[in-house]
Amino acid sequence: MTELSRNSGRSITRLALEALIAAADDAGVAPSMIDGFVPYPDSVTAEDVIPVLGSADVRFTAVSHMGGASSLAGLRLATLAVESGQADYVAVFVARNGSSATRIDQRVRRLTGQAYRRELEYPHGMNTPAQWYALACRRHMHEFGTTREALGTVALTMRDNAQRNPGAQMYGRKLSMDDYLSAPVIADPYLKYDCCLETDGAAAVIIAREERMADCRAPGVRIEGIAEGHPDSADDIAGRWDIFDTGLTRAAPRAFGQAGLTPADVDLAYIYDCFTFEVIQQIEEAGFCGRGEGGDFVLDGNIASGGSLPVNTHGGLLSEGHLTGMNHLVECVRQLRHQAPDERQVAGARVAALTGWGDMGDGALAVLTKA
Amino acid sequence: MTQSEDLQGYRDGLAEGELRGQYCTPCGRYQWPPRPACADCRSFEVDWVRLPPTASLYTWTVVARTKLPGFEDKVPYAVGVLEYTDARIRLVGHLDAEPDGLRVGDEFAWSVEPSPDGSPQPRWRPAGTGKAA
Repeated sequence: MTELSRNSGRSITRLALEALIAAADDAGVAPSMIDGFVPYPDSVTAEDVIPVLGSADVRFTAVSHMGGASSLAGLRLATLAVESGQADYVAVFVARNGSSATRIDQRVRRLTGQAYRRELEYPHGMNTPAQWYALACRRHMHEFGTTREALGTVALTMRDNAQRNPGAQMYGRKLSMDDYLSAPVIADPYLKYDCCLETDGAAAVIIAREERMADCRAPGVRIEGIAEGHPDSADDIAGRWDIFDTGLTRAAPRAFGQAGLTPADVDLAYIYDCFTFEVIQQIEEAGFCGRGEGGDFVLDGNIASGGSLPVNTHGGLLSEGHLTGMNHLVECVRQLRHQAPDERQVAGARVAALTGWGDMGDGALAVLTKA
Repeated sequence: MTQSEDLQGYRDGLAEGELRGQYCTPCGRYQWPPRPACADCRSFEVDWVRLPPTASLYTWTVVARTKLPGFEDKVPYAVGVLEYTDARIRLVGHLDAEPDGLRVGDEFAWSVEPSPDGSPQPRWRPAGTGKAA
């Protein structure tokens, strides 16, 4: 992974190459040996990086179009490719100048359902994910009594985690509940600190069959289960009759089933925290608590460092940086290798779950374990 | 993905001052958002019908900042999801209402009026305040 910043000063192709070469070095694999690529959608492509990496014979490329869930959906494609022998070393990567160049209001114009957005939302004054997801958040508050303090607890927990991560964009910038509550409104119920950061940077991981681990320098991490899911009316949130029944609701049991594990077995979690409420919703839909119980779950301190389910030990999209959840995957691997800095290493971390959230409620879940 | 052409019946309705939704007559089923075919029976013969005058508020957001052309100087404003409970459909709509006073279940009525860009668009006001279609 490269550094995370507001202005990288470099092209996204260069950022991608830096991350890919770093991942190859970490694994002890020559960059030219990478024979499969799964890029994040609408950014740097496989063709952009193949020449410099010197790949002799690329055998597999694929792209998943699931918004923020594309990182884990892409990880799944890579897993399928190496399991089936279609490639030996598959790189999953993202590179973006999301702060200095293509910000969120531009990026969402590439997502699914553009006719709906243009004709059924823009004319009414709605055009951002903060606004879409605020609709689900408001409804959750109505049905289950979820409070603004619960949202604030997610924001403060992510910010607290970032204070143990010198690479986080919000390192050294503490946040109090007063700061949180007095921040400007973006799209009510969302205030400024309910919304994730915009980030320049790149991240990459390399997937291989387990027997190839002998060739690698770094300790591996096992992918025990991984699945994607798509909700009803996958291209429209407002029209979904059960607004909380999302892709993750369907993906989570599949992934845990493959792994032969349950949410109770998970030591730490990486939840796609594009907004605070989405953490609460995904904790529920992934099965860490029941639907409607997520507010109390975070208020009781479960997701904090030292809690029953530490979430986003690096600070997440809210306080480390927004690399579409690929930064969650990188931190997860560090934790499962027991290579995170002492001040944030979760003692005895063995089983981790990651979620992806994207578009209008697409979802993915991966269960990773220490090798 | 549903394309712009698949929304022609909606545009036709607005041009005639009506908010229209899709209705599959054989299924007796409303459909929203509009799609090229009925999501129940797959028939491509889906009708466009005038929607009832009022719907209830399912959820909403108050937009406090936006770069959307025509809306920058209107903040804060509320965008809601309006539910036709019997028809089992929900639509996004611009609410002409005081954002602080909104409650789930409030009844809103639509009318079609010129939008900032001049095109006819639905606007929703609290039911019983007049000026509804």
